[in-house]
Amino acid sequence: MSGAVVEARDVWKRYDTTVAVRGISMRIERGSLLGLIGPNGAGKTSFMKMVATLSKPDRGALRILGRDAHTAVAAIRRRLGYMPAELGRMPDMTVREYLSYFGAAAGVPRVERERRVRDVLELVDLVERQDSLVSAGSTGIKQRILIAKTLVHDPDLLVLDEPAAGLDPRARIEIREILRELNRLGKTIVVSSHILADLEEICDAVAIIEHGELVTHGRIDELTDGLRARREVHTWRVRVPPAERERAQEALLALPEVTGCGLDEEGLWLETGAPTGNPALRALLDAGVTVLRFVEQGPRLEDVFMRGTDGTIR
Amino acid sequence: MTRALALLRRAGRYAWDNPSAEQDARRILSSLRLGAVLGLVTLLVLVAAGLALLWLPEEDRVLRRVVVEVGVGPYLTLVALGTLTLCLALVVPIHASGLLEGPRWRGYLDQLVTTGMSPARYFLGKWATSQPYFLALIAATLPFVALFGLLGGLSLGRTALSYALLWLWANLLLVATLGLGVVLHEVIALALVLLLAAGALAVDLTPAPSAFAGWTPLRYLAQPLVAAASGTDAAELERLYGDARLLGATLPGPAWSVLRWALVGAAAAITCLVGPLHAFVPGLNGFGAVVLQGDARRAFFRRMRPFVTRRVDLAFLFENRGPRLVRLTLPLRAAAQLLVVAVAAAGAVGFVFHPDLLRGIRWLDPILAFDMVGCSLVLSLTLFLLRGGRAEAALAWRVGGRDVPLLVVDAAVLALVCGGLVALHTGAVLTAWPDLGGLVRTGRTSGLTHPEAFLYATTASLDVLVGSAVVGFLVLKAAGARVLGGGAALLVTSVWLTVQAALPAIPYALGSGFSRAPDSVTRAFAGPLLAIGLASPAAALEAVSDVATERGGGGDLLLAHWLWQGAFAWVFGAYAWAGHRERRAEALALEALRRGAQGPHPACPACGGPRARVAWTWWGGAVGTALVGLARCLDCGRVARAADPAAGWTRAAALAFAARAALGVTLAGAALSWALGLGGAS
Repeated sequence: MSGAVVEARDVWKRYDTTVAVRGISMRIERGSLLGLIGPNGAGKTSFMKMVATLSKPDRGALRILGRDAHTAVAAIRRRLGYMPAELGRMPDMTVREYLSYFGAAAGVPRVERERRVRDVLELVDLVERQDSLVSAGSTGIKQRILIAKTLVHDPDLLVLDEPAAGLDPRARIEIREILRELNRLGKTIVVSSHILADLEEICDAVAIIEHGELVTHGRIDELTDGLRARREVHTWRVRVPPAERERAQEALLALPEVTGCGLDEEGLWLETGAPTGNPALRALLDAGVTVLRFVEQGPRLEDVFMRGTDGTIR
Repeated sequence: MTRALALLRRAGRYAWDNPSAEQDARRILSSLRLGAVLGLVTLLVLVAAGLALLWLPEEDRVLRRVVVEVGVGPYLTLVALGTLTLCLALVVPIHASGLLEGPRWRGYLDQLVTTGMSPARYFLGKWATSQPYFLALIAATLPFVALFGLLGGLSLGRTALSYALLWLWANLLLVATLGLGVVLHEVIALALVLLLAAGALAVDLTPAPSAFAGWTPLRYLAQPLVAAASGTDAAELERLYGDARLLGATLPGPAWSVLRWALVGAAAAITCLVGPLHAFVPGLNGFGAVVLQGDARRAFFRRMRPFVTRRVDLAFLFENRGPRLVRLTLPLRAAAQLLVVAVAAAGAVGFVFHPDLLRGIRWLDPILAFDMVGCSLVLSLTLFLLRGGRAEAALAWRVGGRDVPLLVVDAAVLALVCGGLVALHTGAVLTAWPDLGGLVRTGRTSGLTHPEAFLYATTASLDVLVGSAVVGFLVLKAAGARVLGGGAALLVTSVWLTVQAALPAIPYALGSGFSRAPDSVTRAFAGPLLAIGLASPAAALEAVSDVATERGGGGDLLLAHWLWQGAFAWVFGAYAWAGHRERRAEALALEALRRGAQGPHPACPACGGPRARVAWTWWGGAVGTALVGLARCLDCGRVARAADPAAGWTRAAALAFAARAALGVTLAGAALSWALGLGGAS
């Protein structure tokens, strides 16, 4: 099944004199994994809360899972999984009890609830900790518990607010893997994060918000390709055996389109006006250089972000 | 049959299969906690029974006479059940509170809200898990009752009925705490329920008529002891503690109690179903984030808004109640309000005109005073229940494709309350007529010398109170359409009612004095002063007294009061109506934008924001403003012509003001010329 899971049309949100969301229009397609990024105070949490049905747009239309977010809220919430930035101070509950509590709240029948709890515990790899107290877990464990809670009623849309915040590298990688797996299972996921490298790894699309406005929105590869097409100079990184570096540099500098070439600790770099690396690669091979790696230092999500935002605070 | 069973199974699952039931089953029914509560109840029953026995020995004690009369077994049984009543009054409200505040304080209410869980199911879970808890508490006294039964306890029927009443009363406390916890902060609700329960227990022990008392099982439990304790006044006390006599009918005490519990319970259950009244207008439409226009300039007040934030948070939870309940919110809320007021009115009026009470009083003044106090409390309760703020003013009930504004729904509630109160009051007076006839013969201080005079005094006084309630309602609604919360509107109304009652009393007193002056010049001032003074309901009650005691002149004075009330109703009514229309127009303008449609008026020429109709201005009132036709920008607040924002409107406004001033001067002149003749009427 395809179609937009979230459809925002000219959505505004204002807090007194501060306009947090300024006329955002956006479609989030079914099955996509969208990363919402932006500087602090850009308006992404305000937008996320609207998608999570915890805030109403002051103006504009917002449809979630095909329903009006103003009127059909209960029906939307039953198919929505919301992961807040913080777990809250839960009463003394074990992980299993906590998941069962929210499963019950979401209306999962008791018999089915036990199975679901078991499944999500397996998915987030918490089976061994199911009888320990929720409050006793580390930040990483708590984030995993929150993700499990979000999944216990098998929602179609997941809204995750900073799922990797405060996690160590291993936990971040684990959360990343879980999100990938969920996306593979067909869930539509909206995730906000400050960690661009993580989002680049897992998201297929991003939306960059600054000063409440949607700066850019689209598939990551399309955004980077667009940036790449606008570049006049392309940078490539080349790895060759240390003994052949100088020979390689000479061969490259001989090419007319190469505007710069140098050596650093990682190997060789070169700048060229040509959109492809074929002439440079050919020159290296013709010079008898063993090419171990030849990659473009292409525009990344970071570049898209830096180019799209100005970093000022209004 | 199969369908009924399936339905029952579904209802059971609905009640048991939810988070509050999960949590309660785990926490409250855990052996340690339940054991502690049961141990405490057992200990208290033991201590109470011990103290009751220790208190017996002295020969001259009433208690000893009672025990001799009813026997030790029934006496101790009643002590045990009475102790359980007190325990339930303390334990149940504490057990019921925290259902909403717990998740809020702990910061996970947003997670509960986004599960789409219906609040009805959440509350039902609490109710379902409370039942075994209540049964366990009640069962804790069973060994004692069985033990005391060996000494010749109560009859089986009385014991069973006592237990049934205790169980129902525990449920009333539970539902009342939950219902109040929805509309008030749960800490306040808990304190209020404990206070009310303490008051009800105290009233049940006093010899107040059962029509007014009987709010706890204590009244029924005390019945056998009272009959034995009363000695020479046995018949009188039996009448007071016995069946409830109301409007000429006699109801068994327990039945009257259960009926009132059911009505209050139904009102509380409705509140749990529909939640607090709220409209998601800008500023009040974010979970945990209430920021209103102008807050940047008044950060202090923004921080002082935990109650507003709570209301908004709960409104998000109550969004899960489903579209049918959303549609029926206003009529259901009105029904709950009427149920509460009906119970209060029946108690207050029934209490005052109780035949047994009338027999115990020698003259009419206290009856009139109690009557007025009772009716004032009922009307004040109604105004309290009808309070609301700016956001709610935009709400409407959609019936057959038409919007019935909240103001109209609330006005209908007030009309039903006032009409019902007058009817109930008249019925109560007429059924108590024979007793009143006997009373007025001994009438003394008030000068009410015949039953008709009392009938006039009591009904005309009620009319004055109802008139004040109507004006108070219009002030409440006029303020409510412009202030943030219902509490502030209630404060404004209280100030108005106090000022209206107290301030004109000064010119009234002066006018009364001047009217008796020997010279004609001084007497000429009396009329206008009296006319000003009669803006006060207190002065009007004085005039009622003049008519009733045939002191003369009261009729014209009362007319002056009603003219004042009419003028107030006109001014505040127009202001209230305009305020509600403006809020509704703003809501509809935003709704149109939300649907992507054009607003009802062209966009603001200054900022491009949406505009909504202005319904009232100081210079044009409602009519003049409507004739000029203005709209206000919702963003920058600029006012311009509704149809053509570029067109000027100063001249039209000046004309409207001139017309308004001319009308005001004419009416004031007519009123003054009429008032000059009032001096001789006093």
